[in-house]
Amino acid sequence: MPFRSKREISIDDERENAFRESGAFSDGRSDAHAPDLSLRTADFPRLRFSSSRAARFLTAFFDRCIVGCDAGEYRLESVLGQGRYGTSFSGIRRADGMEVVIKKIDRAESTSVREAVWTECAALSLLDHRGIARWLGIVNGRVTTCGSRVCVRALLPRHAAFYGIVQSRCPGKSLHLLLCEGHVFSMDEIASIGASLIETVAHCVSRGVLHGDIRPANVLVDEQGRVSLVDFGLARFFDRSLAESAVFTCAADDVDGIVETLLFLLYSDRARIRADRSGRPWFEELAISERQRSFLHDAFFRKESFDSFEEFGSRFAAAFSFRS
Amino acid sequence: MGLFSMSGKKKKGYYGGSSSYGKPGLGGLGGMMGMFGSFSSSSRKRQMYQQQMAQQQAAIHQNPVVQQTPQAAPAAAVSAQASSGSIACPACGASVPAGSKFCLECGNKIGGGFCAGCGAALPPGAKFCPACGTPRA
Repeated sequence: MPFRSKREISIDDERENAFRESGAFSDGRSDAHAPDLSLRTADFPRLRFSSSRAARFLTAFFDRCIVGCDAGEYRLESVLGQGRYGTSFSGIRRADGMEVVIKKIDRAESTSVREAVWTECAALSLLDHRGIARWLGIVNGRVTTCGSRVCVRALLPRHAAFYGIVQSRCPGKSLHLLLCEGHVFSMDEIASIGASLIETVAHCVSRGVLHGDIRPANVLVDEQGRVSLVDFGLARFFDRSLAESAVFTCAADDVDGIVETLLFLLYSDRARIRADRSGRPWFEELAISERQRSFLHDAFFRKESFDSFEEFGSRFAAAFSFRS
Repeated sequence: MGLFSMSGKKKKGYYGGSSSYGKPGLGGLGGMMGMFGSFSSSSRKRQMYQQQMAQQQAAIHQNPVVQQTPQAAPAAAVSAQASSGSIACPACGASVPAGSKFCLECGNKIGGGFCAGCGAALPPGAKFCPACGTPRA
């Protein structure tokens, strides 16, 4: 990947800030103001207006119009964010008020998209863990208005079509959002989150499922410290009857994802960054114990030193001094 | 669901205060740390997912045990229904992958699922796994 100059990064910053201020995207927080379509490209003459970004902007705008409408037996309450295949909504099941997440799928008639839908649903069907959402159903129909609310989109046949995956709602905020808000993770919190995350991934691996996309945005933590792993859209599968050492090798990407997430949490506290080694690689820059450094180093570069996920979890607990 | 927050803060090294953590070419994994230093640029995300897809394809060719779909993964024993790979939805007649609890077309609840013990696809209404005999959860 080519190194990007500070100028290129600053242009991206301006572009992102412009889209953020327009209200097109939601990062989980409530966003009451309507999106501003008057994007002033003249203010950023050096920017190239990306057609893909414009498409996502318009998609998010139209998807916001159906908040408050009904999709099947569910009511759409708010927009959670935009994903790979469409917009995610929080909703409730009208029959019993159960909180759900509905992932609206765009271009659902496409074969490749349907295969991706089945991949995610199959992964959720294989798993049974308190930290992983349950697959509750499929919605394929039209958006309808409720009560006296008028929704233009619901009246248009083409735009009223709605195809979505319904999942149970996992509690908490994403680590990505917490980091953006400036939350500083203590070593105890990192130990707790890391242990829960490793245990959750170990369950996935025991059922022959690889998450494939572990990162702070896909890890939720609630106020009680319960950890949830979301977004199995890039899941892959393997034979669960393999030897434990082979299983750990298969899950190398997930192990990397866990360790990278831990590094993000470690970097949240500026006090852990050695000022005299600023700009160096993480294993030189971070002020952590030798045991923690050794564990992280082995997890990245010497995965053969772990026989199983159980050993991986126990070495993590020993390195980060977590006592259950 | 991956929530693509478009905050500009993380671009400025807000995640750790160290701009080098987000720079490619530095850190561990020969530069892969830099690849995950920021998630906000759409082009970077596209490149990341393209690389992931390429890696998945390469991994499949190199490691045949890792598969894209659960039906393709070898199991200890495969029932006749699971080996067929799909069943017909009783409501709309659409083809439904074996093991799916809901029809992917109409959303009708079919009640399949996978065995917690061996991972084999369970026929709708089955109380025990036909492959290993584990009671249905």
